[in-house]
Formats: sequence, structure tokens, C-alpha cells
Amino acid sequence: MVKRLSLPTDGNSKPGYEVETSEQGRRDFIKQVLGGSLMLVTLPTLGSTIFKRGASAAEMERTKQEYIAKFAPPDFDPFAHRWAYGIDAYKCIGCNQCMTACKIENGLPGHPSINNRWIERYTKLKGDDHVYVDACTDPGNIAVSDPDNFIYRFDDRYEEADVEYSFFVPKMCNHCEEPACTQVCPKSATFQTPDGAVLVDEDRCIGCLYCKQACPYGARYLRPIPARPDGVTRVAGKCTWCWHRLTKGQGPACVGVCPKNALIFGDLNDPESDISLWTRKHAREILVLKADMGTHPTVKYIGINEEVR
Amino acid sequence: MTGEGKTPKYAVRLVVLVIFAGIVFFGGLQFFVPEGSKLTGSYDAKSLKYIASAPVSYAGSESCGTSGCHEALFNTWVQGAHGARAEKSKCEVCHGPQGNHPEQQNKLVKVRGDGDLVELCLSCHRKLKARSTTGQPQIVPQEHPYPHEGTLNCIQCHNPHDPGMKKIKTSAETKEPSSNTSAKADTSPGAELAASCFSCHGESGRGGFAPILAGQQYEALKEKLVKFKSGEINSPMMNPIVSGMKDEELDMLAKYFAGIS
Repeated sequence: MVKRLSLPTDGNSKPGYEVETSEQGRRDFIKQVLGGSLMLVTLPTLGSTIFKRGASAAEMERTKQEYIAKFAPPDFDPFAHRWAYGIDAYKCIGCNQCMTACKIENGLPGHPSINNRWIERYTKLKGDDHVYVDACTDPGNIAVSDPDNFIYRFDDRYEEADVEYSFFVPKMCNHCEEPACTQVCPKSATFQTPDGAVLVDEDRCIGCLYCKQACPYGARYLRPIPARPDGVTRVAGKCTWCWHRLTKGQGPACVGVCPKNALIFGDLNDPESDISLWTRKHAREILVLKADMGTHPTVKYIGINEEVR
Repeated sequence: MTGEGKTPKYAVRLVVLVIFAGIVFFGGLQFFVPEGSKLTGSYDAKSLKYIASAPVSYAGSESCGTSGCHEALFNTWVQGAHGARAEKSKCEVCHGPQGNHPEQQNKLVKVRGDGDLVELCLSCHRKLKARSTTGQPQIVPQEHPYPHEGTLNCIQCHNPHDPGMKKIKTSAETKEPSSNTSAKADTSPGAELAASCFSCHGESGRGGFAPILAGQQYEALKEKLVKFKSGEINSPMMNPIVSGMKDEELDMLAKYFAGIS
């Protein structure tokens, strides 16, 4: 028997459990449980050499080639790149065009709280110790936005106020070098590619959101997908750096549309790439978010202060 | 504990059972574990190709100019305030994703949103405390240049592909050609020049959202224009427009509007 949670669709009925009694469902269930527990016990020991420490160079090279030949997208070598992302908060004007482009490129709905990336406004008023933070999910900002047409904006609530300082900070998945989300995923559905991007395998994710709890940056959310054969309709969503574009030689959509060039993306392996030049230029002032978490984010900021978390 | 050198039967059974379980277990691994996971030790690498197969929507501005379809507009944009600087407002910021429109032949290139262009412009140009003060001009909609929020669209005066102050549209450009050709051509001196005033000051200066000019005193008009040019009267709207004109042209304008009753 497979019990499946059914959510109300018409607003009148209450959520409850649908019970499926077919023999096929039982077999699938047993298969999955068996497969899952086998993998859980044995995969850490089975894993091949590039993902283990202390493997010989020749062995590593051989596994790399096998990985590229079998699994890498055409004309793309994931081992050849080391992506990084720069955010210049001095330049950001909070136009939310990056968010719009991201949503359209990745097929997200217009709802302001379903976001791979978003912009936060940090405002400190004179004579007030508190720093106020608002983003696209703030009711005041939703009221002046037009989510159906992917137009989002910040309201002018501080125009009359006595502001000490105020600035915009784009936020997104930090694509950590030591991601917490991949370590807690019970299905190994979220993982780090050899080029550094942290991705989600939507066929395997069950939407348990352990990754959301583990992520220090709040970069994860439940993303609606077309119903899968096993009945899952929502999986963990996150920024992928538009990995489908990277494999075709293009940068992320957000970087492409930013009218202020406040977003920088590139390959750290190439010393002349945008991000390498930018990193060298601003080496003294680059900050990462929550460095004390030990996640080693690859998204670097300039122009933020210690209030930004 | 009998210890007679002979292995007890139960121990043999146990060993056989363990070996059998081992064979089943490792045999089962080959069957249950996906190929991609065997290689990586955790995730299924097969998903990479699936993730990479997602469609690309945003093509980038360069393809608009090099594809041979929109060269004229692209060149206007490249030379104008939106495209000439290092910090460009890209085509797809306003027009939305256009990576697929060449294939979908009937799909027109339009502007994002349902026609509310003002909101689209203001997403970058609205004055906000948190917005850096350098770079793009920032506008308080209630004040720019006269209170006309809700009655006018930005593109009635500004060409969105080349929005600079020097390129404020003339009235003739903002109207449909058909409505203009039927009217008898005004050939009096200054008429051509004055047409650029009509989009704010109304047809023949008879009043728009900006003050009425038609029938005013020649001296008063002239004096005002000269003061706008010298900056003696500070007006963010009029100063940049008049500053590029010659004194004779100001004279012609004043004469033209004074002559209209």
C-alpha cells in the first residue's frame, strides 16, 4: 500500500491520504526501499577514485575520462572550469531585472516567494539601532509589483524617512566549495559538479527540504514541477548558475541582463576572465557571507557591511 | 567447547549463509545502483545531461545586431544613452527573453508587461534612497518634469532606444504619420523648430500639461527663453533643451508662438 498525501484543490475539501492498493505500487515501493538502503550502506565505499582522497593520478585521470565520456553534456568538460560569481553591491540599483530574467529562464512562476535569486534592501534610520531588511516577499513591495508580468519593485517607504544609510544586496545560492546541503541530502539528489556548481537532480529529489534547513543562506525553496510518475509535484529548487547555459558557452541569465554590470561571472581557471580580473582588482575588499560557517562560498561581495547576513 | 577438531555443523551453516548473503548483496548492488552513482559514489551523474538540456531563453543583445534583422534599431541603441556606456540597458531587459523568437516566426518582439511602460522605465529610474546616485537619471514621477504621472508615457517624449535629453521627440514624431499629413503644412519661420515644443505645450502651443505658449507677448517669451538658456531660471526640463539652441532660433520661436492666436 502506498499512502500519498493529497492536497485540496478546490478549497473546500480537507487534506487527507489517498490509499493506493495496486500490486504495482507495492512492488515499486519495496524496490525503492531496498535500493535506497543498499545505496546508503555501500555507496560511500564503492565510489570511484576522483571522489576519494589518495587515489593515484593515473587512476584519477581514467575516472575523469570515463565521467566525461559517459555523463558530461556534449562539448563540455566539467573538470576544465572553476566557476565563481561576483556581486558589486555599490552598483546594484535594485531594479530586480536579474530576478525577472532568472525566473523566465528557469521557468519559475511569477510568485515573489519562489525565487532562485532576489534582492534585499538594508536600511538604517537615524537614531534607530535596528537595520531594516526588506525583499521582494515584503507585503509592501508585493503591493506595488506586478508578479503576473514578472515586474518587481521596491516601494518608496523610506523616501520621507531620515535615512542614515541604505543599500541593495543581491542574494542567491552561494555555490559553496563545502556545501552543507549536499551532505544532508538523504537521496544524494543534490550534488556538486566538478566545475563547482551545486545542482539538484529533479528526478531523484523527494522534496524533504533537509537541504533548506542545512543551507545557511536561505537559498532553497519548494519548487513546483509537472507531476512526476511517482506523484511528486514539488522538489527543492535553487540557483544553478544557469548550468544549462554554461554548458553551451553562455553566462547566467542574470549576469547577462544586469544594466549596471553589478554581477560578474566567470572561470577562475582562466586568469583573464571577468571574474579573475574583478577578484584581483577588489582583492582587499571582497567579503563572503557567513564565512564563519566554513562553507567557503564562491559568491563574492563588495560594497556590503557587517549588517549583511 | 567440545573442541574435538571437528567444526560444528551450525558454524558451517552460518558461514555458508554469510557467503550466500554476500553474493545476494553485491549482486543486488549491480542491479539497484544506477550507473552514474557507481562512478561518483553518491549522486547519479546521468542527471547532468538532463539538466543541461533545459532550453535557453535569453540570447543577449549582440545577437540582435548581428543577425541582420534589427540593425537599424541596434545602431540607434548603441549610440544612445542606453547602449553607449559600459553599463548598458540590454535589449532583453525591456523586451523580455527573445532567444527563441526567430524560430517562432509569428511571435512579435514586444515589451515586457501589459503595456505599462512607465513602470518598466521606473524599475531602474525611480528615485529610491537605496539607489546609488551616480549613473542613470533618477526620477520622482510626481515631479518629472511637471506633474503628469498617469497622463503621459515616458516614450511619448523619450525614444527608448536613445533616451537622452538631446533626443527629446518632436510632436511630429510622436504622432501617427497619417494624422499629420492631411493637415496643411505650416511654412511660417520657426514652425519646424516649434514642432518639438508641441509634445508638452500642446498642438501649436495651445496648452498641454506644460504652460500655454500661443498668443503670449513676444518680449515675455523671448526673455524667458534667454533666461532658460543662461540658466538664470533653473528648470531641469527646459534648460537642457534650450541650451543647444542659437539666439536666432530662440527669437524665431518667440515670434512664432506670439503670432499664434
